[in-house]
Amino acid sequence: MLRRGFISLLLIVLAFSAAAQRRVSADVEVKTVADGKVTTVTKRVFCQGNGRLVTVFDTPKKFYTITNLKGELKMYVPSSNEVYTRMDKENSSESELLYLFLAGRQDNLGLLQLGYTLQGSQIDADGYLKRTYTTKKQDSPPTVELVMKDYLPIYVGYLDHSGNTVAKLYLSQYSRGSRFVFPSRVTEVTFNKEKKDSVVVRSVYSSISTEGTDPLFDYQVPAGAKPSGNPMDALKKKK
Amino acid sequence: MKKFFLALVAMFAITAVASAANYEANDAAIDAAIENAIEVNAFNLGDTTTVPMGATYVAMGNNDIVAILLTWFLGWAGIHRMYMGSTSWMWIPYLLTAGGFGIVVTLDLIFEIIGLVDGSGLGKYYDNPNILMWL
Repeated sequence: MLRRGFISLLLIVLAFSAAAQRRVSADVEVKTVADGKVTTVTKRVFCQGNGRLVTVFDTPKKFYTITNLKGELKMYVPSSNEVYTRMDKENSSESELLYLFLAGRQDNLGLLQLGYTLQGSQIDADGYLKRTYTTKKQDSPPTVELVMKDYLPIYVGYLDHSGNTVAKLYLSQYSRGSRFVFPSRVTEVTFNKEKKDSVVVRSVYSSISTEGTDPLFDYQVPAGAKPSGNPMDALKKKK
Repeated sequence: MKKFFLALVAMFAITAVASAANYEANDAAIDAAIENAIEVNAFNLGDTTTVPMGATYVAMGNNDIVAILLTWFLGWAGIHRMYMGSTSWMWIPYLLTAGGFGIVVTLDLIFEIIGLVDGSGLGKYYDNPNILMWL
């Protein structure tokens, strides 16, 4: 009995350890379209199973961010050698899609961790599995619809108190590597009722790799970096 | 001006088709919107409210005029409801009844114009799941 318990405990520890050591990286191009204008951000993302997330922004300006599950954020701008630190749950790497898939949370996209509870699920007329989640948190959409196809999320709809959709998230073009399945195209459409318009954000993921050998996974802000109060000031400097 | 118009048309197509195909984004329309939009530096947007790590909110234009024009010209087929992001089947009752025998679509138009004139806008009619959106 004691032996069986010890083996079970060992297996659990090994499973958690293996999950924490998993690493995935990707190149991401984010295009934001609004009001006839488009912005392009290119970045490289290095995510670990323990939640440590290093993002290297290449355009429009080179800078680094390091976040973790607690929401600790470090933002380093090499051109001015300035570092900005902040602690906010909103910065948590739990909100990064790459982490959610790495942590095996693709079946609910982290909604349970955000305080949502599953209200029900149904197969719709087109054969898709649709799950409905709700929350009573004031700062979150009260209802979220998650649609799955082949056990993978393809659509998330965020509804307001009147049942109107305020944002949509489309996940498509899944790349099916041997160890990691991930949507290489993610499109967000956010409706802004106050401004009576919408913002479209398309993220295209490429070079998705689980090798985990890149030294940027363990990137640290240089020890001599100067503390900065406002990251935007440092980013807007032309130097 | 031409680029802005093309971008506006592409944005319209995104909203309309994204509503019709429930779970799939219209990539062709989004491609067109990106191609026709004016490239700006992410740090130089006038009304940026977030660090440009991904989604970036910017001040948007007003599409209420487009909604009203669609109601006037194609309201009988429910096209304005698709544009305004209602449920994907909403055009069916409009088409079958020619916009509720012209009555519903006329009321749609009147309430939209009232919203535009009194400054409250058409926000409450966007993504409205009710057949009679003004109730």
